[in-house]
Amino acid sequence: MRVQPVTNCEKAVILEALKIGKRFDFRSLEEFRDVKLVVGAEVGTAICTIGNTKVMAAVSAEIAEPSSMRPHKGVINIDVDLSPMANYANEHDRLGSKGMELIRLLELIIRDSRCIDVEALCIRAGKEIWKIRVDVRILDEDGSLLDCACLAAITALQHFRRPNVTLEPHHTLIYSEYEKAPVPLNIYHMPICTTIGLLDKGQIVVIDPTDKETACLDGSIVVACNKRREVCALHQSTNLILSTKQIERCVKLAMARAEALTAVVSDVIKQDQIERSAFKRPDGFAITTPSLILTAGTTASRQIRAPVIKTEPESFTQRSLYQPSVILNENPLSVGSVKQEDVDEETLLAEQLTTIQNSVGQVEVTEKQTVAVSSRKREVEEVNDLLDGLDDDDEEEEVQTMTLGSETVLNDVPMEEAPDAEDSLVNAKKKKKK
Amino acid sequence: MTVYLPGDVINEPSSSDSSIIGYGISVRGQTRIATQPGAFHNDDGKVWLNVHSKRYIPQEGDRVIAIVTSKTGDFFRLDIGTAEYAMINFTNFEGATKRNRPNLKTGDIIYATVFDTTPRTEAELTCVDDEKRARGMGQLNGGFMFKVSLNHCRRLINPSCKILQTVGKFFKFEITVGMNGRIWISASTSDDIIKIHDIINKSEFITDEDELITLVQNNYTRSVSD
Repeated sequence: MRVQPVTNCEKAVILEALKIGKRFDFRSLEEFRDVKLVVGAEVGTAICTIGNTKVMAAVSAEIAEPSSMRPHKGVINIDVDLSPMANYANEHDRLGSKGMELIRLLELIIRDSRCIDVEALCIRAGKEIWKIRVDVRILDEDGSLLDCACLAAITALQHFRRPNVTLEPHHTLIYSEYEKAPVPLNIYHMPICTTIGLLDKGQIVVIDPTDKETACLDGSIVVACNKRREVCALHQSTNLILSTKQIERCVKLAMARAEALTAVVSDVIKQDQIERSAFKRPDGFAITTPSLILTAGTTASRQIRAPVIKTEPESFTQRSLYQPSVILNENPLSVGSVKQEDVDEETLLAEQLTTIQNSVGQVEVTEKQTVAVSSRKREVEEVNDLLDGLDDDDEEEEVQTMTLGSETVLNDVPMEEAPDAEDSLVNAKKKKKK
Repeated sequence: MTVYLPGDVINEPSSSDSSIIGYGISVRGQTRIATQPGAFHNDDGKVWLNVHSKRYIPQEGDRVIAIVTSKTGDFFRLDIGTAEYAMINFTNFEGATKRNRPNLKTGDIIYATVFDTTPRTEAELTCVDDEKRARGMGQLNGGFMFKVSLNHCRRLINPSCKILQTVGKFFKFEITVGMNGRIWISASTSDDIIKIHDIINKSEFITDEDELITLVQNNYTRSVSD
């Protein structure tokens, strides 16, 4: 079908508003839209929503024969489906120029940045390898399509588990998920995409432009970087001459965004692992309907409060280490042992920590938001006292705690993981109470 | 209020024997069958279904907002949100002659009336009435145009609608509502355009008057890019 043309008056008003720093959805020029991230009940599926842009990603794996050039490395295939459901200008089963650009950039970011260990996907060199397939389906399109698709694909890859494989001398045993626990992929880092629109020959930066704003801008630059401030991809569309200072400014904005979104992805995956390890069937995409992820723009909805799971940091670490090998376990003794309840101060601290993390995560917690905000501000002040020489963050306040917390971890020991960040936050609270 | 789904047989007794069949209803012999999902309305011998939709089907006599896409000889091709382009002759503007042609460029918007919707041909628009007067139609300069659902447009042009009256108490603006789901607003500053655009978008699902006043007041005191 045809694309509705952009009218002259519409373009004039949008450009006039952008040049004085105003947007039609009440954001400032350097403010991102809300990200909603849901993982499905099936492992390896995720839905990501940025504003009105919705992308679903699903990861599957099969055993294939390797190519003769690389006999000891697995294969990762990216498949993008741009259907007319997303935008009525798209055609069935044809990518077009926008689709080709999207699929090439996704391949560059996910495959060529080496964020996944492809050598670990080898079963027998030269004979059997795992072939990972990432299906990205665009559900709705309103600008920043690559950001949403990349985040959905990265989350689905984090969420994916492949079957366990045992090598015998002359044959290969593949276990189902009921016999042995599936194995997660070996992911080194998470590249996060950020689209930054440029105006007035690069003088004005418009972050996360919508579809109408994209039609009015001079061009845009896409920066993909990870939490460790490494640039994985840099892509510029349309003819635009930029100086290195402008590109560095865009890269700096994208790095702050990548740290915030990495914390969101880690929190969503961790929440899902907690639910699965407690022998619950996760809700998956069922919570998307009442929480306004797939039905944007409707009337009042029911607000789902995230389940506050009482977990101590130490027991959580042990439980993540001793992940159960059988998912459906009918032993009542082990079920009872998992659901022990300890009423301690540490439990209350863990509850508050979980509430703060859930407010960053997938489901909105409206009733406890004031308490979370006030305690978050105090933690932000404490972390700001610890960090002196860092730059100011332009992120939203909701993710600022996680960003600064991860920066603390980066400054002390760069290679530590998220539970240590929890420990530092809990220790900060203990010091405050004393 | 009765809600019908497509395929349902409508058995409502009409107030008079001669009924005018409206939108969403088709007659099969002696029975009336709903072809669109909607709420049934019956008024003085007219029956129709109130259907929530976003895609416009041209009807004769509708006032629409059209986008000029190209010029072909004596005709301008217009996009009114339908599958086919609509057309308008240059002589259908007020005061237009062969020596005095309207100056329309690609991307301009006009407010016009649909006067010919013969099936299997393009719809034809006009910007004058029977006496060759514009009556507010013609080219719309400046302002901002956006799309809402067709239900919201019909609600906005209802004389008993409170939305535009409430917005008029807080903002000074000019508005044109097209029946094809397009609304054109013009105000003195970009802030006012952004706020009125947000109010009209969010008021689609507001039925309570107090809630509407709260929305308008919040947008009036709110700062853009806070």
